[in-house]
Amino acid sequence: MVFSGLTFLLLFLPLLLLLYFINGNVRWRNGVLVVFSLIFYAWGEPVMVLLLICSTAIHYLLAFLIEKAARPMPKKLLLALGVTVSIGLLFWFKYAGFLLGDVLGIAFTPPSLPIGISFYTFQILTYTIDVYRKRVRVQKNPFRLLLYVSCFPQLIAGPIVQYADVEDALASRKTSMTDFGLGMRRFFVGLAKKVLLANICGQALEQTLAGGSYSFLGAWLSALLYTLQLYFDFSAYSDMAIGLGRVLGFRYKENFRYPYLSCSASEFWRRWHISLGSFFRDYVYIPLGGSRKGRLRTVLNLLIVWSLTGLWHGAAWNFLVWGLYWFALLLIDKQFQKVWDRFPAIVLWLGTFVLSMIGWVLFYHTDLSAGFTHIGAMLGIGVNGWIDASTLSVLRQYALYLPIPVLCCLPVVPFVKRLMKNHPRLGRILRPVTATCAVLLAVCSLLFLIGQSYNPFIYFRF
Amino acid sequence: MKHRFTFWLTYACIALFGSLGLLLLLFGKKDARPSDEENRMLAGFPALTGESLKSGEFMEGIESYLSDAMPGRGRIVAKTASWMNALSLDKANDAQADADVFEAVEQFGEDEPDAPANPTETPEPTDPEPTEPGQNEPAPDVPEPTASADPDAAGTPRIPREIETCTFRQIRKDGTYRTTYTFERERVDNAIRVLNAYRRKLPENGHVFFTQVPFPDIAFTLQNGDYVGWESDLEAILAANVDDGVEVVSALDVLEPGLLAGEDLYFRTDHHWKPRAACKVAQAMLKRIGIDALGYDDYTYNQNGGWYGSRVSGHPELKETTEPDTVEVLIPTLPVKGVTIDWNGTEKPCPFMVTDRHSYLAYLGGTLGPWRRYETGVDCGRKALVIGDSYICCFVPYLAPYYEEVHTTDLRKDYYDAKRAAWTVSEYLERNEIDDVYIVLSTASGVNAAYVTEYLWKYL
Repeated sequence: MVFSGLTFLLLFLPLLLLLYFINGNVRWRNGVLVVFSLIFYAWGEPVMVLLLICSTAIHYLLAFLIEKAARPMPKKLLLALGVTVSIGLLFWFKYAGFLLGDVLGIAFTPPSLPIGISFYTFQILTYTIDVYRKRVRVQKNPFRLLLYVSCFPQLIAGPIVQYADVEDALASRKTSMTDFGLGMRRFFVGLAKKVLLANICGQALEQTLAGGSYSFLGAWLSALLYTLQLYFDFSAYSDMAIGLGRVLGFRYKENFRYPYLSCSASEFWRRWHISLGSFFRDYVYIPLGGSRKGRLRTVLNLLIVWSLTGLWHGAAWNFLVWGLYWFALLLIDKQFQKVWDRFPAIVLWLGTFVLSMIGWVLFYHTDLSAGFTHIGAMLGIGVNGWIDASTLSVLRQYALYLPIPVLCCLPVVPFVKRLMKNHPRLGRILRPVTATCAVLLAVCSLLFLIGQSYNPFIYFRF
Repeated sequence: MKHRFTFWLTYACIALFGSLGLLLLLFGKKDARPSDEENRMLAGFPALTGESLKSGEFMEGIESYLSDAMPGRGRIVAKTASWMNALSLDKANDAQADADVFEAVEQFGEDEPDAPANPTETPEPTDPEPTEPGQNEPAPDVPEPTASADPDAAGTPRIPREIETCTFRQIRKDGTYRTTYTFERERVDNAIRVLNAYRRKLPENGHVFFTQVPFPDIAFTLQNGDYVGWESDLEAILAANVDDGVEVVSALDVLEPGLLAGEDLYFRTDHHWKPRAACKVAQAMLKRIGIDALGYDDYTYNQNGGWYGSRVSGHPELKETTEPDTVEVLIPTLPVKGVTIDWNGTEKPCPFMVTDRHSYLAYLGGTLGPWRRYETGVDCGRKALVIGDSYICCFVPYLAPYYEEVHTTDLRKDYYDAKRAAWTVSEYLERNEIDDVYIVLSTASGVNAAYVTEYLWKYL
């Protein structure tokens, strides 16, 4: 099931909220949430829900044993077993086809990828590793652990919620009218970002790319459209997850902070998919030694982290190359920090934005050569003229629409929030206006979901 | 509490959504039914079985049902389309009149000729000439294909090296032309290989027929005087390079004289051809195997007037300035029995001609599927499979008198799901002892589109 589906909006969510709020008892609420989360997952993956439950059961047991073990070696072995099982499952479903087929050239039919496996695998690993590190207490109630792993707002497309962040909320959490209102408002805004921005950018992108060859402007326009689509698609999902989490009494950390305003590669990754960056920092980079073991080792650690970041997004060469591309950019960024400081901010911003666009081109084309052809066309190599008919057609068709997503990349919401905070009287006027706008956006989104059918979620495949 | 208003408003919104969902579950129309506005079958309530739950069919069905059973759906579709239209530089009236409307979509392989959300949204290039090099050159002769086909080399490029592209051109009065479609060598090669691959799946005396039919907007340019002729080298190149038993019929050549003579070959308000055009193409195809087929006027028809098709239905304002279409529905000479064959092989009766229907759904009842079989009552021992998009609905009736059974399938992405299909196309051909395959596509699903580059291969 997806947040931007009619089944979710018209049936699942209203029924869940009704049953959830009918009783304030946390056990009741956890029960409702577990049942609905499993239905939510099983709606798209009726069989694979068993894998999620088994995976949770294994980690529940292992964490228990880790805590009970008196000596460090058994603890380490149990942790290694947990990591091996989870990564093994992830590897089997996600990477076996790539390794055996693409790398080794062995004929192999890969198993179908369970939705959200990359997200929930990482989540459950944070639990077991943190129990080992004694950062969190072992969860004695298996249903609470299942709730943590399966909690539907963040189950299939993140953000990656670390166990430590919700440990207390699993046992007791407060809900309020304010949290409900603001959470739903955030959800509606996310829904509108998905339906009214990401989907329409995606439609325009398909039209632009349908020709198969690139004109110079066509190559740039398609790169820009994908850059916008990906951001709105993924950040919308995070907005909806964070909003729903708040409605249900969970506080999830922000996952995006206007990444396209970044003036450097490192800043970009502090603003884009923050929960993934945090996971790799806390559970891979720092355990490898981070930057504490010399310059060469730091570079090696970064190389490992960015290769893994690339491969996490998909088992294909283009994702690996995309990860290495960012590794190179980050190295250059750090190496020439003093040089960059001399440039005006606008140049740095433009450079970062263009480099991120080029990165998304690599990300988009699972066929690496197609990606390089596209990048080549952006540089004027092998182009079919300055502009082609489909680009012209898209520009005309979306002429008045295109400025809207571009403007929405700017921090309009924080600006309004600051304005409301600094001018309380204005705040009192604007508060109902923002709520009304959010509801109107939700209704518009519903109408678009009925009237227009283009509705893919890009981050599902990860 | 600072956010009381926000709470109540969002609460009311979600309560409204929930009530709407509940009402749809309780009172929504549970049966699948045709939509004249959208030119397709609207989803009914899906069957709830263990199998449909396991396969996910039920879940997909519920999503479609909620969308299709929504009260005022037609208006919502039109309204959202008009909102998008308002943000476009191309307005409905421009598109209605202009022949370039579908050009961009067709040329670059959009493959959804059934009920585009808003066909008039697709803009015409303001001045496409600069984007196409050499457009204003004098019309050259169609190049003579010289290559010989290698029937065994499915993966070998077959067309002559010197040919980089094939083109479809519209000829102006002064002899200059405008390149409307360009077919890259790679796409043409692919089409040749795919046609040969289908041919190899048929018995020795079997045939594969292929045609791609231009959209009405292009066709109308011959009638409104913008252009005086068409020219395409694609069909000649294809024909010269396919194996024996593959017949490439140029719908352009077949339809051009009629259009120039002012014949009514396309619906004015819709994006489909009319039976008269379909009959002409069917005749031309059948002639290739020595059958002198009946002409359009040899049949009798019900004339169902007053229909506005997809090009107008999303734009109520155009109804005031546009004459409605008349739907000519063939009255079958023999009682034809039709069945749809479900993904798992279950058969259900389906209509052949809905003689009292005032829309394109009169022909075969629209696109139903995934497979259909029409038992024609003709005892000739030959069976045909027609593969295509919605253009086949109008076409199939003219094949019926010459085959014992005519089967159909539509491989477009919203109509065919290989994962659920009990058979591949090859298996279906073998299982039903099909002799001839007809691939009839609008240009939107043609050589440049995923239908030919992807689906025909993938599902074979």
